[in-house]
Amino acid sequence: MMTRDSALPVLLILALAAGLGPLGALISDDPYILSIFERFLIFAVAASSLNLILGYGGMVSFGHAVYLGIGAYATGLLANAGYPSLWLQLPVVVLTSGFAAFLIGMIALRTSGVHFIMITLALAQILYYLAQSSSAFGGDDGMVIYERSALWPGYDAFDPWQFYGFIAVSALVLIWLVDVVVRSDFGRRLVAVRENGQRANALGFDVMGTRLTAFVIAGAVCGLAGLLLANQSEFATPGYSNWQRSGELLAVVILGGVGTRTGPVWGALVFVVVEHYLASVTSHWPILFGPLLILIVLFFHQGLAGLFDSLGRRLRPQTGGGAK
Amino acid sequence: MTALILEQLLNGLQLGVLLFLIAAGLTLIFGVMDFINLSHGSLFMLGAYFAVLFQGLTGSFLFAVGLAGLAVCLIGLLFEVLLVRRLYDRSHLDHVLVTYGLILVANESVSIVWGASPVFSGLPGELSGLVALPFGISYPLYRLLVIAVGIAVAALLFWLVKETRVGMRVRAGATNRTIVSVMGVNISLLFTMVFAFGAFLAGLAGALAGPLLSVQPGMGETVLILSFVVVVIGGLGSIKGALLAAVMVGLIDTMGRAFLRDFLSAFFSPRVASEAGPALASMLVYILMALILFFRPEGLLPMQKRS
Repeated sequence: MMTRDSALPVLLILALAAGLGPLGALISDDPYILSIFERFLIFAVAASSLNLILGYGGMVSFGHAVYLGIGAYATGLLANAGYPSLWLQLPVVVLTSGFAAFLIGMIALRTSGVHFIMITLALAQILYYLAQSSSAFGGDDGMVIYERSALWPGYDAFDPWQFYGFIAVSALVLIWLVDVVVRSDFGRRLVAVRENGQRANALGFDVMGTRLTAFVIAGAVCGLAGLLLANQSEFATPGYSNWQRSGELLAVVILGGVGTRTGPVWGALVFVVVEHYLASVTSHWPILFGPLLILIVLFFHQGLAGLFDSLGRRLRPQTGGGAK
Repeated sequence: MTALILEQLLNGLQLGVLLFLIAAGLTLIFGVMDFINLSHGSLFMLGAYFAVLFQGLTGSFLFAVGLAGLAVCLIGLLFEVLLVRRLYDRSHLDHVLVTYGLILVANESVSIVWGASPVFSGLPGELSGLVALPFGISYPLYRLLVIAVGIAVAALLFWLVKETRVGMRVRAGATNRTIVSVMGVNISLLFTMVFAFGAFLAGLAGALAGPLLSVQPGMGETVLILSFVVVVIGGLGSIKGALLAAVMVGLIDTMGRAFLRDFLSAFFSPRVASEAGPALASMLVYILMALILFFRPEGLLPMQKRS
C-alpha cells in the first residue's frame, strides 16, 4: 500500500507505442501511418483523462467528449481569428474546458449512479446543439481550421515529422500529468472517496471538493486533447462532442482496463488500429465493433492492462505476499 | 395569433405523448430492473422501419403500426432473454456499454437493409387531411390521432400498473426486488415481461412517429436523449413523473422552437435574435433539466425505493 510506483512503466509503454508510428512510416514509406498514430495518441490522452474520473473517481461520465469539442472549437476560433500561437491557445483551452467541467460538475456531482450518467450525457448534448445551430461555429458543417498551432519560429506545423513530434511529446506530457495526479495524495483521496464517500467524509475529506477537482482536471486535459485533435484534423465539427464520441471514449477505457494506469494507452492503441482495419474491410464497421464491445464487456472485464498484468505475474517467479 | 399558439400547443402535446411512450418503457425498465437501456431508442427506430415495411406488405397503415409494435416487442423479448438478463447483476457502466454496442449494431443493420438515406413513410389519404377545430384552427388529423392513441395507451398503462395483479407485482418489484422473489413471484418472468412491454411501447411510438419524422438510421438517438431528459426530470422509475415531464418537455421544446426567436427580437436586434433563438431553443429542454436537478436532484416525482 505504501509503495509509490514510478511513472516509468507508463511512460515507457507510451514512448514505445508512440515510436511505432514513425518506425512504420519509415519502413513502409507511407506518412499516412503517422496520422493513424496521431489519432491513437490523441485518443490516449482523452481516454486517460476519462480514466482519472471513471477508474479512480468512480464517476461514469457519459459526456466526456464535450471537452474534446470545447478544446477543438476554442483552438479553431483562435487560429482562424489570427492567434495561432500555442502559448495563447493552451491557457484559453485549459480555462474554457476546465470552466465547462466546473459547471457540469456542479450540477452532475450532486447526483450519483444512473442520474449522473444521464445528466452528463444530456449536458454534453447542450454544446453539441449549440455548435450545430450557431453560424459562428460553422453550424452543422463544422469549421475548417486554416492554421495549426505555432510553437516557435522555425517549427513547421505542416511538416509531418515535426507535427508528429509535437503530438507525441504533448501526449506524453499530458498522460504523465494524469499519472502524477493518480499517484499523488490527491489521487489516493480520490480513490478513498470512490470506495466509501461516507467514510472519507468522516475522515475529514471534502468529498464534493475532491470529486469536483478531479472532474475539472479531467475536463481540462480532455480539452487539450481537443486542441491536439483540432490541429490534427484541421477541422472542428459538432460531432466531436457527440454522445457517440463519449461512448467511444468509454469503450476505449473499458477495453484497456478501468482504473489501470496503462489501460487507456493500450485501449486507444487497439481501438484506433481495429477501427482502421475494420473500416478498410467494410464501411459498416460499427456492425462488427458493436458485438466486439459486447463480448469484451461480458467476458473480458479486466481489460488489456489486466491481461498483461496477469501474464507478467505468471512469467515472474512467485514471491509470496498477498499484495493486491 | 391565438390560433398559432393553440396549434403549437397541440404540437407540443403530440411530442410529449410520443416522448411519454418511450420514457414510460425506459423508466419502468429502470425502476423494476435497475437497468439502463440505451438501445431503447433503437427499438423506437426499428418500430418506424417495421411500420414502413408492414405497410408495404399489408397495405393498411393502422394494421402495420400494431404489427410493428408487436414485432419490436418480440425483438425486445429476445434481447432480454439472450443478453440483457445476464447484465442485471453488473454495474451501470456495463449496461451502458453493452446497450451502446447494440445501438451500433441496430443502426448499421438498418442502414445495410434500407440504406442510409431516409425512407418515405406514407400516410394513407384518409388520415392525411386537416380537421377544423374551434378558434379557427385547422389541424392535421394524423397528429390528433397520435395524441389520442398516446393518451389511450397512457391510460391503459396506468390502469395496468395500478389495478391489475401484474401491475401490483411490477410496483412491488420496483420497491423491493428481493422481498418480491422471496414471496414466490417468478421475478425472472416478470423482468422479461416488463422489458418486452417497454419494447412494445417504444416500437409503437416509432411506428406512430414514422410519418412525422424522417425514418433514417440514428433517428432513435435524438429521441432517446430527450426521453432520458424526461425520465430524469420526472424522477427515475416514476411513471407519473414521466408523464408530467414528457408533457412539459414536449411543450417547452415546441414552444421554444416556434416562438423564442420572435420573443428575443422584442428585446434584441433581429440579427442577434435570429442567431441566438434557434440555438437557445434547442438547449431550452436541457437548461430546464439542469435547473430542476439543481434544486431537486431526485427529479419532480421520485419513486419511493427500499432495497
